Amino acid sequence: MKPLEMVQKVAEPYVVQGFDLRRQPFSGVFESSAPVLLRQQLYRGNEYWFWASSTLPPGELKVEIFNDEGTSVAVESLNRGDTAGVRVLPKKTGTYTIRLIATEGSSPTGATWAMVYGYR
Amino acid sequence: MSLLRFPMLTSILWGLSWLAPLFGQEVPLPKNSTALPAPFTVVSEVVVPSPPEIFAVLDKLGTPDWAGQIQLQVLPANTDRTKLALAFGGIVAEGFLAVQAKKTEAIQEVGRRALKIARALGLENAVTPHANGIMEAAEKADWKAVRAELDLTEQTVKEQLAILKDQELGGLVSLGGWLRGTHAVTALISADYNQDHAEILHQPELVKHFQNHVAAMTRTGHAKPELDGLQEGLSQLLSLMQTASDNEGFTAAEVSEVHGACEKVLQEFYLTHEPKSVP
Repeated sequence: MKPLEMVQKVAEPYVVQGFDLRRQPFSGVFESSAPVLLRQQLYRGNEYWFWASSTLPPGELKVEIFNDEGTSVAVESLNRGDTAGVRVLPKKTGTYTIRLIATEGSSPTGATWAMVYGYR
Repeated sequence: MSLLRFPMLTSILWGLSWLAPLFGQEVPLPKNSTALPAPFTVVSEVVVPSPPEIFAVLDKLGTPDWAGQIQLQVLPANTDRTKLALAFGGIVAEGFLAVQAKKTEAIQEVGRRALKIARALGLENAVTPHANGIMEAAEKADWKAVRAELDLTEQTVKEQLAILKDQELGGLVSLGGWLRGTHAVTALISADYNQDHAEILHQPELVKHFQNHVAAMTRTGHAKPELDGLQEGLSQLLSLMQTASDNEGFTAAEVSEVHGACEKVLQEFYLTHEPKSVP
């Protein structure tokens, strides 16, 4: 199964719980060992889940989220085989950074990744 | 239709080539990460939120007078694709406002206008099914379906513009919608000012993103007076947001100023009436 299919499958039950999924998924390739960062405008009052999958071996991908002060703001994390995710309840409206990062010792170069997010 | 059937795969990848020494570690991002020295490089790009995402939070503001915000005057006549793209975003935002107000006729008019602008952009065939879907869902008062169809309409137009090598205009669709949405929301917040509600206007990085987009268009040969007007308006909006951020929130006067700045820009491509003061 491709990363996008995997991440969509993980996200699907959350739709039942009232989350709407952004129709545009994000995807790409780890071009080096460096993490991938995505900056996203989030709104206080919404609840968000960000999920990502990759072609890395299970358990080797992490998703993290930081506010503009560099503080991790995840209130819940998910690590389910090929897919990882974080839930956030923004305390402030603003821009947040989502970081996709391979675990220490992993070799992500060339691995493909896909991310989707939901909000409610 | 399943929400998981995405119409397009958008790739966004930012590599950080020199981060190897920190790889794998739980290292927090430094403060003010947009102007970041080593050891982190954070991209300046910001993912523009989709309209339904913004309206999801607006739903939580209570039940303001959404109907009073619907503006369906005759659109300024123009054939300029830059203005048409901005106006398309504006009319999609109008559709979301009409959904908030649950106004079937207004939504159907939005569908017709979206089709008209799409025709002027040469995208009639792609947009017709969505326009029909909007009107049918409105007839059934299926507001969730209307929102989904409006969202799809905007995505389709962006995709088609990209196919036509006009992807810069896709960014203007987002900008037009954001301006019209912000224009309406600031009017509502001003009508019943509350600093807590005004917090939603804290979007300086998003404004910077739009500024960069417009600047890039100017560099690639889209040097037009309307782009200068956009930049001027965005600069004013950014200044207001930064002031509000420094002062721990928007005052009622600043909310009105944001509204006025949006209105001035919207008059270039969307609104035909004279500026009005916010109640």
